[in-house]
Amino acid sequence: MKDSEIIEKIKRGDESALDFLYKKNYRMMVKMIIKNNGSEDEAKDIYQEALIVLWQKVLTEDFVLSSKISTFLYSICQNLWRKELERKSRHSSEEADKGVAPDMDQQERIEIINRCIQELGETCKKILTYYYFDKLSMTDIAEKLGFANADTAKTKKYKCKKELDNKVKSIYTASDFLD
Amino acid sequence: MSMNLHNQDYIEAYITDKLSASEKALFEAELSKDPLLQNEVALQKEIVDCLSNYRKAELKNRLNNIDVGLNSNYSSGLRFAASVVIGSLLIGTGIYYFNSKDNSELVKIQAPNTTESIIVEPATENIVKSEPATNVAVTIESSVVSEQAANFDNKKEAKVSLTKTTTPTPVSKPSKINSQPSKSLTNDEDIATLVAKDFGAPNISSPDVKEYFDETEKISERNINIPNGAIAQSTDTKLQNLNISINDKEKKDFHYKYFNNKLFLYGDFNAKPYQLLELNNKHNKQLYLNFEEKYYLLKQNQFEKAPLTEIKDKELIDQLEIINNK
Repeated sequence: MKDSEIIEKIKRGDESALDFLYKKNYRMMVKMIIKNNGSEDEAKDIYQEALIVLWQKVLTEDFVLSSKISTFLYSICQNLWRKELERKSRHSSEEADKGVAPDMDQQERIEIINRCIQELGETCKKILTYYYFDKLSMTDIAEKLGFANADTAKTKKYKCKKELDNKVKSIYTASDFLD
Repeated sequence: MSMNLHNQDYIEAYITDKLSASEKALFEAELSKDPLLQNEVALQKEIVDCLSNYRKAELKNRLNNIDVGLNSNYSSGLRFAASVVIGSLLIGTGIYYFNSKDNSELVKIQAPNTTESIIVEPATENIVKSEPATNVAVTIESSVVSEQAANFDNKKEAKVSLTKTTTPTPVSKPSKINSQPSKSLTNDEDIATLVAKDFGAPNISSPDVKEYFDETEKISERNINIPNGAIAQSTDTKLQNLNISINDKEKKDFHYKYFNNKLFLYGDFNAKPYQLLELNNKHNKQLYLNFEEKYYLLKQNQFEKAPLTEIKDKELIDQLEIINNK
């Protein structure tokens, strides 16, 4: 597959392009991180993160590929690994001295939200994640999920979001009363 | 956009950064003095973050399951014929027999002694046992389901697991095909599993309700057991779960494309059976479509709609014919 083909696929939310890239560049990226003091697991993790960053970047509207995909991916990997190294060294020097006081309320809310997402039907999960994370157009969502058209996708997205909001709010308010 | 700043659409547009500069300024001014609105925006942001994290985890999981092929040598140079019986989008179409020697002759079997009815949950289906009188090979007897109370339009989606076997495919022998709807997809590897659902309906309110069909082949006359296991296990999962979607709205079209590991066929594929063949050699898997006596190449990197081109290569056709056991 040519780079342009891969980009075209990603822009439509076709994950098989991601699989392809992952396989193709695995060795190179993982090797780079291992050479720079990373373990194999860390390398794999960072590489996966990098691919997801790439995925999201390509899916932004104004994305233009200005180099080869592998070059681009390589630089994302490098950046992520550098950040990770910084985080690790900071962590070891400061120890746990200023451990970020966890916002219990927020943590609890996030747990509730995650639970509610789990409870959604598969289609709802897909629509909402494609919309909010992948930022796919309604047309692409309709195509991916086999809906008649973009309007159907839009209506369903609206319903699913409403369902999620209602679930979250009902639990959230209920737990408020318990406090 | 509605000027009600508490409107969910407005909040969402703000979070997903879709407001114009002036709208955004207006919203933020309101936000700064309205704690209720602040709460709502914070919650909505968290919801979007959680959805993003969910999706991220899903993508990571997907990548984790990819064999990066560091140690992969395709075991033992598999060269197997893959015969795929795509049981014809079982839904409510009637009985089609496709006679390979003479395709102008559509045999419709109606004799009572060749038809038996079996009751299976959840719907009653007519299972047709075919006994073609002549010894003419029948390419596919698509078992046929007349589903009661089902009103399908012509857009159907089928999820098909491919059948693979090294033996000459039994498909061309007179055979009995049983079709049973079932909720489980976990049957033998070499069973063509077929999931069909109607996706033309504009609103699918319950996404999980798909109808699963297991299509089991039984070779009643020769008592052949299709070998299980070894070969089937080495098959590419991608192919086993190949999704096929047929769009026959554009009758004259004869096109295909791949999208997201799904095969889209454009054309009149619902009216007559078609067959997918997989030709494998050491490093390659190639899919071919067999339709009305002709073979077509299905390139798996074809993600734009492209016309199906007939294969002319004599040698290749011969190979495909062998697979097809004509």
